[in-house]
Amino acid sequence: MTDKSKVYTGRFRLVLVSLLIILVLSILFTLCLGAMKISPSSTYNIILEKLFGITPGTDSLFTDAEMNIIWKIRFPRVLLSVFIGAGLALCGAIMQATVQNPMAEPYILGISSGASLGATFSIFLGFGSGTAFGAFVGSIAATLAVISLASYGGRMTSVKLVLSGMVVNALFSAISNFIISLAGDSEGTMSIKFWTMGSLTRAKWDNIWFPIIIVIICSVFFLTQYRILNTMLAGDEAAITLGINLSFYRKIYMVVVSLLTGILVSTCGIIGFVGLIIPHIVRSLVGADHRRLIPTTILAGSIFLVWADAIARILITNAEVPIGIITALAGAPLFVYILIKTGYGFGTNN
Amino acid sequence: MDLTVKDLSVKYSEKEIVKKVSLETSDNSFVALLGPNGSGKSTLLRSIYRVLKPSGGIILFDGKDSEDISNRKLAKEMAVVSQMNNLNFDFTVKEIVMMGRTPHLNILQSESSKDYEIVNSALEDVGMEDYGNRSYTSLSGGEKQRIMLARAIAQEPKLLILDEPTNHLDVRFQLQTLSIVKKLGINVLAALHDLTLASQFCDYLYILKDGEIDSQGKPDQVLTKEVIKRVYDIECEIVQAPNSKGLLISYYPPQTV
Repeated sequence: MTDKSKVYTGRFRLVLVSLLIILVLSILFTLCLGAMKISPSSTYNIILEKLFGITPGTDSLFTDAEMNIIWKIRFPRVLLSVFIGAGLALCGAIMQATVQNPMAEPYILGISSGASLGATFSIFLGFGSGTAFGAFVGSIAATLAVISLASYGGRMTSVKLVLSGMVVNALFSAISNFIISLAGDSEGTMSIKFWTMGSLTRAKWDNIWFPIIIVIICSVFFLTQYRILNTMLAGDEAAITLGINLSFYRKIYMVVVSLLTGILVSTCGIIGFVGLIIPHIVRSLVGADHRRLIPTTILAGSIFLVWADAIARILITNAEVPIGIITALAGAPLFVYILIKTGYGFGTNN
Repeated sequence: MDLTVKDLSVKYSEKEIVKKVSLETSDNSFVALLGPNGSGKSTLLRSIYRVLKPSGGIILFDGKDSEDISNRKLAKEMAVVSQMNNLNFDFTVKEIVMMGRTPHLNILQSESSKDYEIVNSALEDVGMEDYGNRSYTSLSGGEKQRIMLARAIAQEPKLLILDEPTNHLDVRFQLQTLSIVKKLGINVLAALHDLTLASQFCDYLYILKDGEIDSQGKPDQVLTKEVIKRVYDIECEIVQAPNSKGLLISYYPPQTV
């Protein structure tokens, strides 16, 4: 038997530092990727000038058009993808602890669909600025629906959880697609494609700060909650006898995760599977202890989404692939793998 | 910490499982709760450690009403080893035992070297000190049971509640577990199945039948042929054990199978 905790603890710092370096390198690298080809040297000169006011000695190395693309479009977008990725992965990790099931994730459980219904509904009714709030209400509603469906008639099992998620997902996305169809392509309504498959194209300097700040606040909050999250994984009885007021914390966490999901979805539509893939991989690197799991998950989620968005930008020339397609291509096979391989099992040992 | 239960009733979907039970654990004694399957032992214990809500009666800890004590405050004084210890996630043994320190630590407080010492000595107590870095899910049922006991010991309780702690254990570890528990020198309330072990280790017994206390008292007063016939519907012979203060009980197979 391997000496797991030593391996994990020893590995943790190395993993964290490596991920941080990879994240910075990924940001720098993916900034050069996009529909318009801009040389790395121009890109970095633009970033240096804008961020640190360092003007290259020689004549301007880049055109105004290049500067606009890099600074006004691509940089905020990459920045947003860093935080959206962190937020999505965090949502997954927290939900998995809260419902004590490694398959919980906002997309699979239909929480994202709830958020998207809330958002489209509030846009349809004309509350332009209340989209995030609408999405929050929608995701809370979906969360309640899934949890009560899955725990109806006894203990919540993996099968019931996934099936309830499927039902809620189907219902909520049908309603929101209906609303979008009703509204046609009128002003302010975004396409079904945006809501169901996600996109970061809307990232602008003036609209990225709100989601970024929310992700930072939620991350800091959950980084402090590792001990309670660990106890939750040990089961209801254990948590209560260890002095944790379980139902209280469970409600708080579900509300925070719903809030975060709502804001992420209202910012960039539904991007599925990130919250499933990232915590799962990270657990195999640093173990299940949330003290290590949460920071690692946040960083790994960022890296994953930075690359997923970069691929979405460049996969097809002159067109964008919705980012949800990229994450689903990576996530769906892994979902099957988890079901089959690790014996989280369809009902057998659960 | 002393435990007093007065007229406790617990209902499970309209059916009364525990009916007006009163019992007491005090003066650092080892008290056992005996009774056939379905007699309400687990239900009674679970309402004491607050997983179930009683429908009537009161529970007092050191004379103080349970409802006036927060979960966390209670967890500093009372530890529980229950039968529920399934885990879907991969923790190491040390991480599991460290969870026992949860009630003693504030949210932002990190574990001190004292906490690690407590965890290590708890692992030593249950003879699992070499398993600290093993994955919990890779352990056998009996090993898991001992880790759960180690977690409870790490809580440094003054009252220990055990729900069939010797399940899954072989003879040696059954004896070892109960010896460890006895040596803690604290108040213990344990649901047990093995009457012989109960007579050997316990100071006082309560026998539960259909949710009511059938009889109570010191082991040699309570464990009689008549009581065992009445509660378990089994005939037996009882003699004093030659090598301990316990009893030896030899059963006859039931007449109707």
